[in-house]
Amino acid sequence: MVRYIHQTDLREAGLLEPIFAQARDEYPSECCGLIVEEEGGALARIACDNLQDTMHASDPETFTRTSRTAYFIDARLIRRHADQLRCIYHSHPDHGAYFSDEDQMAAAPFGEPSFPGVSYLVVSVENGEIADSKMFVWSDTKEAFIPSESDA
Amino acid sequence: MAVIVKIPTPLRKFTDGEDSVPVEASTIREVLDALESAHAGIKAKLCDADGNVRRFINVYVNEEDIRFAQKLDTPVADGDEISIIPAIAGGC
Repeated sequence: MVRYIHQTDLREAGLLEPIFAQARDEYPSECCGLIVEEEGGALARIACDNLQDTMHASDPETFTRTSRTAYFIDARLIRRHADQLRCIYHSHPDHGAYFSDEDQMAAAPFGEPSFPGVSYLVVSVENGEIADSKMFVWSDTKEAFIPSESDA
Repeated sequence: MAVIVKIPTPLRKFTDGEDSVPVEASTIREVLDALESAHAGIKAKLCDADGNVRRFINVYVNEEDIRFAQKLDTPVADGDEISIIPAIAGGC
């Protein structure tokens, strides 16, 4: 049974407010980052650069969006932390805290999660202020990421 | 040229659970073809109908993203490590 990371875990680890601060700071761009489990079990936040504008500039036909509506994390960071990864977060500037079709496609490009057991936090930022946040986890029955029932 | 391809967790069902497999190839295009020959079905997971690597898949030759090299024509050399890394990306 997978034990997903929830918002309560992030709050208790003192990581939720720094995520919100990053989302406010990087507004109106999407912010992004990783939550990893360190040796000993402590959770840690890795704030990531959003590379979406670089991807858009290099290949606008494939990467049609800018950082205003999309995010992209350096794959070398993913490779470095894949074994420790517990949660991935990003913000939706002036949009709700939902798991979009784009989020679904990116998180499960093979039809199943790229990173099994990893939850996704989406933070809604409206006019530069945190409006909402929701955690999403994989559902085997729905074959999609759905809002976590344990979210708080 | 013998190279090692690192396989992400969701695709290891195509490689009998192996997290890395050797292939003979001189470009990324040949790497993908060689993977398909040895592990039928894997290429469709990695490439779209036009044969291009899917948007949410990263392919690295050692430390270099093939998007910023010659994409499918990126050369590979003996001993290179090819990493297939699912993207962490998305958007509203």
